[in-house]
Amino acid sequence: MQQKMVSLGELAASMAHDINNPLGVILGYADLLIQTNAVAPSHVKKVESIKKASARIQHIVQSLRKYSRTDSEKKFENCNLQLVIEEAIELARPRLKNESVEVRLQNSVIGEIFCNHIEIEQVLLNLINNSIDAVSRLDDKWIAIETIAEPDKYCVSITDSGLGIASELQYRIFETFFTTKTADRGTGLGLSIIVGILEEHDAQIDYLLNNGHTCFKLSFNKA
Amino acid sequence: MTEKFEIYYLDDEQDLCDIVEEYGEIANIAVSTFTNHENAIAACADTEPDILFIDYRLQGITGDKVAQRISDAVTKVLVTVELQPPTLAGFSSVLAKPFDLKDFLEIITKYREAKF
Repeated sequence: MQQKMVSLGELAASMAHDINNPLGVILGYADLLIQTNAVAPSHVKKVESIKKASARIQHIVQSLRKYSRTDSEKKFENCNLQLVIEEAIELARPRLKNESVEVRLQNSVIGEIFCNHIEIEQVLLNLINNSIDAVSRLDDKWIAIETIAEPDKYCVSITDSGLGIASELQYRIFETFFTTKTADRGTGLGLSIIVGILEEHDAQIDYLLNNGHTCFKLSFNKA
Repeated sequence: MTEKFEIYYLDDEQDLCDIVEEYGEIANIAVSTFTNHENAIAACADTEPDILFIDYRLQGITGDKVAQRISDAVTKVLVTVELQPPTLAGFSSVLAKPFDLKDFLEIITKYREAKF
């Protein structure tokens, strides 16, 4: 798994470089069109949209770029759990929008956990992406993310509008390479990567049914 | 701007050099651009600019190696997509790519105000 993370990091680093130069050209010329009043007033909004879209790509690339740090640079520190959750949602935003999935943030708790925030962000992103896959063909598409403070820990539950995992499959979902998705959508590595990362953080993941819906609950020790 | 303040910009992407030249025209700042690092080094030896912007990933060389070959009297700004550049030695500031006119002018204004 460690090797896979390093490969992902190398890919992200290379992508960031290859994307940012042409992105700089798009952003730069869009900026120049506005700065030099080269476009008719009726078109200014369109050029502004190009700039905004470029800024979004830049944000996504920067977020991916964070994964290019190697394990030797892995840093554990006190992190605001809510900010990590919000950053993961931001990373998932393009897919959420494309698939018209609503995110409901509930009972946000301001608290800190001791973690490598890039990895915890990846855990949350993987779970959100799994939820998007699960609900994308439903009529009712939502993901609810709730944070609860317990005496010694913070729990984050990610519930989606899916109707749960078949009972005969539940005991296998954390196995490496186990997936219910088609080959083009899932490798079966997502949940096993999550388990590996959480073990390093002395944290835990549980699957449960929440009012008949699919729910994963993460438990972190308080910092 | 009446005081002489000269900017050099080194990047092997021609389009980015063209954009920066136009930024210079808009802001009324003298900007010379280079897509070849040897030409930039020669130009600095000939006439020292107030600021030299150097892209990190150049063809066949990295920006920090170029910076080492230029006088300490020249303020050098690293232009990069790296979140954590391998080295900042020799550089006074970092300009993150991609950037717009506002980002570019912010850095120039900082050093220009320090000079005048």
